[in-house]
Amino acid sequence: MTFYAARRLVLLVPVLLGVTLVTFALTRVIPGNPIDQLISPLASPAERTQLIHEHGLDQPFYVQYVDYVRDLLHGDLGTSFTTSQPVLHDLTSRFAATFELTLYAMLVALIVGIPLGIAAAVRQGRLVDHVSRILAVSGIALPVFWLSLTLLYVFFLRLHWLPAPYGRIDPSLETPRHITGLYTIDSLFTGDWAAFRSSAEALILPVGVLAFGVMAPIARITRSGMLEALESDYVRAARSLGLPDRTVVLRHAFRNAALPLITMIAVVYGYLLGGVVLVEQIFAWPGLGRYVFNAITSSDYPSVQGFILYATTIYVLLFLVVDLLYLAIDPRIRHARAGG
Amino acid sequence: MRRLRTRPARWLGGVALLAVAAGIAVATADVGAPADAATAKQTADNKTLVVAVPSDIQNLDPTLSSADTPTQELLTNVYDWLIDYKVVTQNGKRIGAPSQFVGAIAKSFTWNKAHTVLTFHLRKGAKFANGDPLDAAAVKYTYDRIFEQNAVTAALTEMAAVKGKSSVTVVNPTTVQFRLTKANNLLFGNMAQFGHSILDPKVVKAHATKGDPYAHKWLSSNVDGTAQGPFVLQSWQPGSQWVLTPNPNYYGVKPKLDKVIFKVIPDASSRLALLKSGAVDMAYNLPLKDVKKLQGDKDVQIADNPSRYVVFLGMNSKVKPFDNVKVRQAISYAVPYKTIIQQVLLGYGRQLTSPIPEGTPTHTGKFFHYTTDYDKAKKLLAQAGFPKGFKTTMYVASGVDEGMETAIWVQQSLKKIGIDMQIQQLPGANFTSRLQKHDLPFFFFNNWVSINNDPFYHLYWLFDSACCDYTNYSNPAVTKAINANLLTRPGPARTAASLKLQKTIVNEAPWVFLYQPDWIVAMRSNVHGYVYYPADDFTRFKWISKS
Repeated sequence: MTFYAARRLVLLVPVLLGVTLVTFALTRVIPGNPIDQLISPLASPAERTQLIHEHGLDQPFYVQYVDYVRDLLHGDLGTSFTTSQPVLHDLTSRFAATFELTLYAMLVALIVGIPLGIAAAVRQGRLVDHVSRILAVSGIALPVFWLSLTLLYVFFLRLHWLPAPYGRIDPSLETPRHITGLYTIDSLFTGDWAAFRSSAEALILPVGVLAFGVMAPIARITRSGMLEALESDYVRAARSLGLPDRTVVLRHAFRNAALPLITMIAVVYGYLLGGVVLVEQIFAWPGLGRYVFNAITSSDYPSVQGFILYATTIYVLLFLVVDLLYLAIDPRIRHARAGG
Repeated sequence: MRRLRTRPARWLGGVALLAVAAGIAVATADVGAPADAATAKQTADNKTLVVAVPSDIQNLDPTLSSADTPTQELLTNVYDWLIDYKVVTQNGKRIGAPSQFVGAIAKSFTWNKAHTVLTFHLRKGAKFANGDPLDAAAVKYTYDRIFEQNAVTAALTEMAAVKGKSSVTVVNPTTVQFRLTKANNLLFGNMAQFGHSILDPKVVKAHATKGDPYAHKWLSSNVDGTAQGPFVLQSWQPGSQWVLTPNPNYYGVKPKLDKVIFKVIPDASSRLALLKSGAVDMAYNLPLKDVKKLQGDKDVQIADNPSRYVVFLGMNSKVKPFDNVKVRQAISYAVPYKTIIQQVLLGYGRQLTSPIPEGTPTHTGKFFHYTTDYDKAKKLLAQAGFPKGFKTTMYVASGVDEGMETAIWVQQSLKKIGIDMQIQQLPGANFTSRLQKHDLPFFFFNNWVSINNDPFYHLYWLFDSACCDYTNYSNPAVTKAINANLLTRPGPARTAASLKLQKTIVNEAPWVFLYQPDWIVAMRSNVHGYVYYPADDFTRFKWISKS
């Protein structure tokens, strides 16, 4: 298994190289010019040309690309045209915000979605199945921005139960000392209860909105996997052996239904990372989604390239973890691989 | 290998347990919260002001800063320059008069009779935020840096006839002299801007490197120490917020607030919700529809001031059919001016009646003869050789709501004179690039303000400069008159020349003159002291207090 993981990691290199080439080309094909964002409109054409030269944007494409890759190999993702910060610093400082949001959203979606899916399968055609279907359909159908604004209106503006869409923490509080970058965890470690409460409260609505959207596919895939498993011979055999219902459902059926679920979780998590931009926008969440959105609209080449590189790495690693989990969970795959 | 098989189940169980624990933690945090977080916030204290802004600050080097409002407003609050706008009372409101100047870092200034030697007398004992002396050496160093960087600030200073480093001399530790090669009216308007922020030579030198002798890189994201304005930048969390606190060494009016927190709230409806609830004290860039609705809310006040922005439809004189002056005039007669101000601006603005906006010296609307007159428009179009009209496209930068709405009204009107107009939205960066290449044939131009409130300065940039004559308008008589008057002192001759130019340009219609929008800041009723600065529209937070 170690060998397998190592080989996959080595394969990451050509994948990332390919991605840099495509992104590099695409950002330069899209009309627009980062220099225009960088400079006063009153600048003379000579000054504009000078700046383009300083940033190497007048070099032929392949020269620019080779320079870029050389910097990459030195761990330098370039400097953002809009924030004037190193792109790597920009990405890591914003990653924690997005990660905290998506991590909790995923956990909530799993905690609600899996039991809902199991219940819907076990009691197929009954009330819980219908409720789960309605939830799933609305989770997919309700636009994120609409849901966000409605929830804000009800819980913040009307009821005052939840805090203003300030972002991660009340602006009058100090942010917790950086340990993991996740405010809820860091504030717990440092025993800063005010910060913990504020950051946990700030998470409720955006996490709720995101979780609601991704809970749907999780519940549905759990349900269909469970239905299939429950009708299988081994479940019938287990039942005929007189095993308790609980054991049959959770141990035998769910274990088998979990395989497609794990893939789904990885896909959904990838989707969450990409789809978080609207929620970040509305809740003023200083995360990656908003960062890359701004970068794209202002033709900030290094930031866009850096983000895509970052996202690709995460995707590839995510699916590597999924494959390893498969190996660990399913003896058939493990043995097939060992045999082959 | 057998043991491995049981591990994942246990591992999954562990994760589930952890997740449940985290879920419970989040949930109980909710239950334990006070019922009314928003009101608690509002009453927090009246020394802290929270401002909701749409975007983050970017590049903070005063001489090479990014061209966005949050950055430039920040620079205006943490730096001062030698002179500043004089605050006067106009129609019962205090405003920073865009053409009247008083000493700032310089306590006073004197001109020689010929108006070519300007002497600044600095304040004795003035200091930077870090305690370093704010003296003639710092001023000299700042201007040396400006000229050596040779960017926009240098170009603008040279435009006002201060030609390079040797024109700025130190007379003694509190006296600096500027020599002009020609008397003119542009220098102060150009100097009262963030590009002229006086910097601390010690701090800048400490961060200079061989490849970056003027510490541009460091100054791009720092103002520590070298700030000398009413505030210092206490903290900046990129993408999220930045905080200003008073500068203890400030020589001037002491800020009344202890803290100004700027929260980046990109979504306009979130900014509105925050303001309505009292969770923020001020909100920028609210949609006009929302501003209109807020007008009935007694907890909110709207600072609504006439701006000097010009908003127009550019018609490119080098692109057919707009090269024909009759076509441009015909379109100018077909635009529903009043409807656009009522329906698009909801009344928050006034008609633009000259290339020089109302609020700039020598402006006149008396030559503006365009009304919405379809018959006249059709006649002109026929004379131009297009009796049946033509097809064209109007370009609008995406994300500019007023542009899109205006374009739709114009589309309807032009249809009545036979012009079939398509509307094309271009992404912001693409629109700007094409604008700067001067190759957009017909476009909505949003918000130009000439910070330097001088009529010829304004005309020079928009009708004669290499950068910004976006419509490729060219008339040798106009160019000649602009150049003859750009570097002169105000007086009857200059006024007469300006009037003549306004008449010609209105008549030749390189633009459809649309409107001057109002500058609107929405704030809670307990916020006091807002002073509008028509030169640049930036809020100076030193005037603001809360009750």
